[in-house]
Amino acid sequence: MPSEAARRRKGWAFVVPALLWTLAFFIIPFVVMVMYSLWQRTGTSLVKAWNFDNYASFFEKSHFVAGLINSLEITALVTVISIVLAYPLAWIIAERISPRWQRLALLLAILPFWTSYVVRSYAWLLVLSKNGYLNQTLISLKVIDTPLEIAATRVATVTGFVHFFVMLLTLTIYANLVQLSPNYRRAAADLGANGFQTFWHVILPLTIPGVMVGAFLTFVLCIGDYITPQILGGNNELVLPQIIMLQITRRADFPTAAALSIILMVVISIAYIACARWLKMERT
Amino acid sequence: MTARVEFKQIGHHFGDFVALNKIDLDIEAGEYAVLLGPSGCGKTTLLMILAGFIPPTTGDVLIGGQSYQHVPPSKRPTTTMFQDYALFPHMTVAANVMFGPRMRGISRQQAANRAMELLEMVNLADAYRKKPHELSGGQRQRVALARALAVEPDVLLLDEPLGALDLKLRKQMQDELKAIQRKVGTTFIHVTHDQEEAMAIADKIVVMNHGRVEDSGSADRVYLRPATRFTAEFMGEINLIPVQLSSQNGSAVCFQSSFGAIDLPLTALLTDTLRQGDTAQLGIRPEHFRLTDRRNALSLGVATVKSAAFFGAHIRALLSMEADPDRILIAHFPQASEISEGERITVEIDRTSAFVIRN
Amino acid sequence: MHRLRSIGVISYLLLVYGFIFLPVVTLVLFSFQEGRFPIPPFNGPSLKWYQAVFSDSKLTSALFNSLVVALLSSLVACFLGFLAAYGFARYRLPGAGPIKAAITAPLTVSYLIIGFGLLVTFNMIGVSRSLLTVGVGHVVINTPLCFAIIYASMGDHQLNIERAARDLGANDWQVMLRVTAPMLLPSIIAAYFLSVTFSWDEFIIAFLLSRFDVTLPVEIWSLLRSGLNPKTNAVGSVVFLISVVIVLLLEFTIFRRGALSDRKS
Repeated sequence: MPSEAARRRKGWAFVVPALLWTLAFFIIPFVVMVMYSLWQRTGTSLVKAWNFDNYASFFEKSHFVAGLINSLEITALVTVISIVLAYPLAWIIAERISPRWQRLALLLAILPFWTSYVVRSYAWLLVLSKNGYLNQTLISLKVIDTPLEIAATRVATVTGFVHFFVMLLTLTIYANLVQLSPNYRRAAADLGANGFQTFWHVILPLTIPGVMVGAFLTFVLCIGDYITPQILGGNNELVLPQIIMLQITRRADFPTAAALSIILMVVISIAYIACARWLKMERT
Repeated sequence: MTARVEFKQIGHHFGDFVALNKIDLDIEAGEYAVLLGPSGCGKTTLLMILAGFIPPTTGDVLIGGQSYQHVPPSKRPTTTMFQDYALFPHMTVAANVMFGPRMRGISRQQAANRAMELLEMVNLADAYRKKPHELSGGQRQRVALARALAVEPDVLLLDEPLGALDLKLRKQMQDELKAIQRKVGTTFIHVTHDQEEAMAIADKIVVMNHGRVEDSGSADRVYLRPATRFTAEFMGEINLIPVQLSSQNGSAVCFQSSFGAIDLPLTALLTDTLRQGDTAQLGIRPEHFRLTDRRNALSLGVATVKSAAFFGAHIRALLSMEADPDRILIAHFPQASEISEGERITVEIDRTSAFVIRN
Repeated sequence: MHRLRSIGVISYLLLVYGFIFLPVVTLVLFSFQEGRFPIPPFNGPSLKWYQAVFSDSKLTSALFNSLVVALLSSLVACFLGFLAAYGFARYRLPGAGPIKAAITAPLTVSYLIIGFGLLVTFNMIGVSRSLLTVGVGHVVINTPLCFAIIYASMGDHQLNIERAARDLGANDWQVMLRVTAPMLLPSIIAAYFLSVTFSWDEFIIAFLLSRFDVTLPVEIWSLLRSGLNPKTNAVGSVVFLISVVIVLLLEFTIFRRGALSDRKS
């Protein structure tokens, strides 16, 4: 029988490769990014000044703050609309479609998930553009006379995001719905609850974890995304990731980009902690 | 508060599979009935039909003389205690018990009082504010019982309620269930595959197999005088010996077997369709073997003890009869009996306890 | 009442499925457009834009690059993820909690931040950007994914099977390679292909960390600068087709068995 210490050494040997990779290419880069955020770029050279000027300038420059506010507003809007659209869909698939066809219905509901990420936003641009299907249909139905300018607005960004996150949330909520024991529903009905009461008092509270997990994923992926706002929202109303990319690609101002990235990370971490605490509280 | 249940020609099919084959069964008001049978025998399906979760393919169920066809579970005078208890995990124990009364429009205060009353009855008053996950298996089971009784059903349905509990707790809960049933007077219908559990609590045992009712009656009747071979074998260990009817008169029947002729009182014959020359099965429970001469003893001949094992309350022996060495009989002898392996003994049985059933 | 409810359900389904499929249908339809603009009215069908895609050497080499990066980086990610999952599931390690958290941390960080962190780090130590650095980035994002999927499928019920193998004389490596890995094969394959589709579709890390040789999403991105173009529709449709084929293959091979056994129970 090998000693406990020898067994532990062997166990660590399995874990170390992944840990080293994470350390070298995730944790160290993060530390480097923090270092950069404390330096300055003047002209074309990097000054290793070690101060918080980049963070101070975030709060001084109104377009940076506006970018964060845009990000938060769009993310909140997207999360709420996606939940409202996805919950009934997940519920219908789980409850109203026979088990034979459920898997197919779900597969179909998330099939466009697998279109390329860049291409999906582009496809929405086709639909929403001045001469696109949406405007043409609305004109022929005589709802409007002149085409709507949807592309390059917040509406277009939100539409593109909602499309993606409805699919994601449908998946998480459906998974939560089908893993509930059918006996909960039976017990509620048996004790005299009608369909709505069963849903409101039993099913909905029990699926809140699925909604929260999906909402958290939506928040993280939405607030950090560059592509969808860039393609659909254009340059009129920048979100934080667009501003970060501008610093990197146009101005080559890595220190400012680093400081903005860390601010974005802090925002995501706050959401994560809030969500985790809430889920923990719910469980006890 | 209580009602008679009548199953009339209940049939149920899943595609080609016949789950229930024209069940006719009456359960009296206030009776504790147990549906007993192996898994897949249709007992749970029958219960779900009564609860209204599954519509029967044919037939009808009357509760208190009234048909409830097309009536949803929420409108039936039945409630179910589920196998996994199905306690709502996001609600407190009290909220779980109050759920039924609240859904029936009873005020919060009254529902809370009712919940407290029922939790006191199941000895869980101090768990009032706890969540289900803070309770042990046995406690959850009591909450489920309180919740089901809170709506004052006429009939309470219990789907394998004790399956998840360990042996000691199971025995304790059997006694409590029976005591509570006596107290509230509601008709209880309880599904299980454990015949000891059935005998411990049932006023009436309904033995089911392959979607049919094999036998129904009191525990002692079903055990000692089973209607069918399946019932005889399912209710407990039994020795079945093929016999052939040789003669029958006013008070006795005589059979031929590989152990020679066997004379039994007429009451041992549990079938009236047997004619002379027909074959049947002689059933002897292991505890009906005797070592010494007694009243009503019937000798089966000399046997060798193949093995003997101490079982606490009795000694379980495997016997090989000299007249037919390949036929091994299982016998229980009193704790204090001194028998050992290889010993030759004269085997006697209690004449009034043996019975004869059809093949 | 009942009928009213079914009508409501059906119209809701039509509406949401319509919304979900609207961009995909538009994308694929106008990839067959005859004219120069992918906007109504549709005139076609024509395969000329597909021809244009496959004769564009930039696009075809980007497609090839994407496949190579996706297949190889996922192999590394899956290998690292499996080893770590095995270590955590089979050995009691002190301080396992924080280390598990560290390994799964990249899942909660935006790709933009991961990509940018790697960019500044490579910049500082003088590593030039290439497909290799893109691959490194993709391993960072996919290792926690593979780890989480494989770790979740390692239950205690497999522990006794492994003990039985050890009991019958297999050493640690034989147990892992001949018993554990084959038992976990469905989840390993699922993790691998999920990782492949993520890497194959990833834009921001590939954009930040590549230079001359680029992956397909980056090439499509530069194609977008030329405005609306049926050629973009064609290449988008090809990518969609490849992804759907992978997903359907997975659905009908690996998950079939699972689905069947689910139905029985």
